[in-house]
Amino acid sequence: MAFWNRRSAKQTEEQAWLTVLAPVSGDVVRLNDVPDPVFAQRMVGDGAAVNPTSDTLVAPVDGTLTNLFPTGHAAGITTDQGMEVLIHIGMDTVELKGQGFEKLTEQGQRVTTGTALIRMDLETLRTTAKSVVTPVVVTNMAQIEELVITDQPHVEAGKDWLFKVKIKRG
Amino acid sequence: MVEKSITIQNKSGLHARPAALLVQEAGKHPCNIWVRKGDKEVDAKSILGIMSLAVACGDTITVKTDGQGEAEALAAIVQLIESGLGEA
Repeated sequence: MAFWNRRSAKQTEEQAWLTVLAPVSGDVVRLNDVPDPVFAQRMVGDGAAVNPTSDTLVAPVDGTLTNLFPTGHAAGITTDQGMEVLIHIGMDTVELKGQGFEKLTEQGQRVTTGTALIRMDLETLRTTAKSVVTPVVVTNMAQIEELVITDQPHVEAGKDWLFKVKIKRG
Repeated sequence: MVEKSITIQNKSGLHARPAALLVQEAGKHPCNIWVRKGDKEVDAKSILGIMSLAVACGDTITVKTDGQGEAEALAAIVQLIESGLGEA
């Protein structure tokens, strides 16, 4: 009995954490260092950012692509547990009206970790965008009990985890 | 339940920044709050929900509140949207 109890406790513990992978490859940037107060002050959510070196943005978690903004500069996934993960490519990039972004899927689709979502023309964006730093945040912050950010300076898209959040029990 | 329609004036529509401000205000109220555009209605306390409406400048949305303090919540949200959601 003790064996089974331990096992189920371990499973519960695993389910309570959401692991968010890097959606792009690049150097890890703390939200505090993101050049937009909306993200730096965690108004949108808590997480971490990546300064991208790869041009394909992939899903960092499994879930439903609740939001693929028409301009292609932001994507949001809702996990089966109801956690919302928003990826925002660059700063003030909504103003580029889609230039430099190519949507590779559609809003409402089921996605799994690694599904390609958006292709970015990084060369263009580096000249047209205020910044290409890409925050990845959990927007339902009230449900976060703990957040752990990777201590690796560099992450690979779809392979390395960027941060993990412990989800509060309802 | 009360509701009110309002036209969005933000030049880039309801993207991350205005959506965050809207959700922040909605979260202060205990009642249920929804935003509707066309036939799609979402929870106003969800940033992804708001962004999924893809509200563009000039679009009309309807804010609906139901429950404790619904009138105050509706007034506060409508006022925030009219003030430009931090982008005026």
